[in-house]
Amino acid sequence: MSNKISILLMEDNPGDVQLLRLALSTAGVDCEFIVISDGAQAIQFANQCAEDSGRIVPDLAILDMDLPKHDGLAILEALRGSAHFAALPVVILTSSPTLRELPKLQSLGITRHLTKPPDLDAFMALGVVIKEILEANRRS
Amino acid sequence: MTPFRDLPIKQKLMVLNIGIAAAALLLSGFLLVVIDAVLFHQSLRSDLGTFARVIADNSTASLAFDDPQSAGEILGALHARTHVISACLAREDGSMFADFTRPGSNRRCEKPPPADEIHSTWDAVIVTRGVVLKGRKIGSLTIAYDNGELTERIRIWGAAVLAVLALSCLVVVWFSARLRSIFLTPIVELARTTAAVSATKVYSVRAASTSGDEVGQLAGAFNEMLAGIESRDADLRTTLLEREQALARLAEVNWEFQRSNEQLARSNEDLERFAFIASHDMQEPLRMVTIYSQLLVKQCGEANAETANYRDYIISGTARMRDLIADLRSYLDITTAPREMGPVDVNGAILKAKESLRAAIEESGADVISGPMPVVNGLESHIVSLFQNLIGNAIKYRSDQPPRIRISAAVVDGMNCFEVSDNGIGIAPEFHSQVFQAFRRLHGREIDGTGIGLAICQRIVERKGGRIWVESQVGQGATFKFALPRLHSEDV
Repeated sequence: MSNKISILLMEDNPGDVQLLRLALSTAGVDCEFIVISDGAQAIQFANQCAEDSGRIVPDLAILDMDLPKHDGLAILEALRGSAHFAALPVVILTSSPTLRELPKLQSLGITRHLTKPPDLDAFMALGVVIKEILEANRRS
Repeated sequence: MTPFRDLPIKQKLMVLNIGIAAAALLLSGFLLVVIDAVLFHQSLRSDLGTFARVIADNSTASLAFDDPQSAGEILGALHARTHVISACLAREDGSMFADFTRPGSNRRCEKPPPADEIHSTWDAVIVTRGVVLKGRKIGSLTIAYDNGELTERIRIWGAAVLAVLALSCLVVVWFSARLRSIFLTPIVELARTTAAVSATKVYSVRAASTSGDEVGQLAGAFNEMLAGIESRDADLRTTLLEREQALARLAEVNWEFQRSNEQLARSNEDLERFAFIASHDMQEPLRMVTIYSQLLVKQCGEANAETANYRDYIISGTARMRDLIADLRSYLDITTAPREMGPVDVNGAILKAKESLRAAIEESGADVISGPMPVVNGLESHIVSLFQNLIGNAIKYRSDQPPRIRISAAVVDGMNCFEVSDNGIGIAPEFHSQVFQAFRRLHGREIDGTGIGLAICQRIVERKGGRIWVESQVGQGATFKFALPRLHSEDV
């Protein structure tokens, strides 16, 4: 990995943000985070990036479905609406394993649906899963 | 006859009385008149015979001396007898000697019959007597006597009978009026009472019973009947009133019941919603507490025995809370699952339940045997969960012997009836209803569990229109039974 990996993390729970940082660093992923903690900001960010084509494209987006103001589906629609993010790999993160909107999300294009693990070890394992997704994307 | 039948009794009685009196009087009057007429006629004939003999004897000299003038005088004296119409004195050869004819009468003397005789015509009695001198008949006298006297007598008698008849009718009318007050008034009174009772339905009135005769007895019987009806009527009214009151009370109770039912349903809904939201929203903070306490423990390391204890409490506490929330969610999810479900083969569901319990079965050395099972309508995950909870409980609450679990099914009263029996510690009868309550546990922490399993079972069974119960005694194992409706295709 030559240059630093950039991850767009859309998550309103600072506890989860902290844990994801820890999980990824534990998995040996050296990355920087763009953290957005509400739906309105996420949509605004997507629109801004579309106008400013010079901005860097993150390597991966992690999207929590239950953000305030706008839900994950609306945010993904906004992201996919701009050419800038059309090919961005998106991992969906939810607290419960069942996800009603999954078919719609899949039709918009998502890489994976992950559940927030209930204990520390499982959470740390999540870092490994994300690392594998990053590596797979880099290869392709 | 019909108009007579419809007449009031008093008029009927009057007509009957008058009719009978008139008929009796007319008959007896007629008989009297006839007898009198006959007797009078007979005595008239006999008197006339004697009378004619006297005149004939008086006329003997006139005829013997051929003196018509004296004969005419003798006959002329008959003028004084007003009913003598004519008198004819004839010689033996039949030629007329002297005669008398009442003025105004057109009767003429005829040739007399040869022998003495008396004969009656429609208007007169005619007597002929021979005039005899020294044993030799020298002529004959014929006197015609009219029936005026007889007619007169009949007329007088008839008038008397009619007068008596009229008088009798008056007596009958008067007597009928008397009869009415004696005999008819009680009946009329009875009839009026009956009509009043029939019209007003007031059974407390009584007919006046004044006499001891049949009418009085009838009135008495009628009064007794009225008393009977009155008491029955009162009973009936009381019963009706009581029934109405009971119905009103029932309606009131029903309404209260319905209202409290609605309130219960509303508060149940609120409670379910609250539990659902709580179980969802509690998961996130719990996850945070769990993971960060694990992180804390990891970073602090094994400080000392006391902190290790704290750590264990935090871990077991959060783990238990997670289990409770998960169980609460699966309990609540039963209600939100779709109602329309497909057929589920219970044999397969039991296999799946045993598969997920494999560790517990192997560890306890449990012997789980199930007979042939039917296909039921339902959600497979629910049926699996049902058997998983029941088999799991049988293993969990085992006695010191290895668990022996028998599962069987039969059709009872048109329902599929299942039995899961074990040889475990059993349940005292007073706790049989409590074991199905959510989070109700009979045992402390020595046996793992949240106490939701049987509540889940009950919810699954009742949602499918069935029921679940337990038969058990302490120390004698337990048999959990549940009945589920049969598939429609089996309802033949």
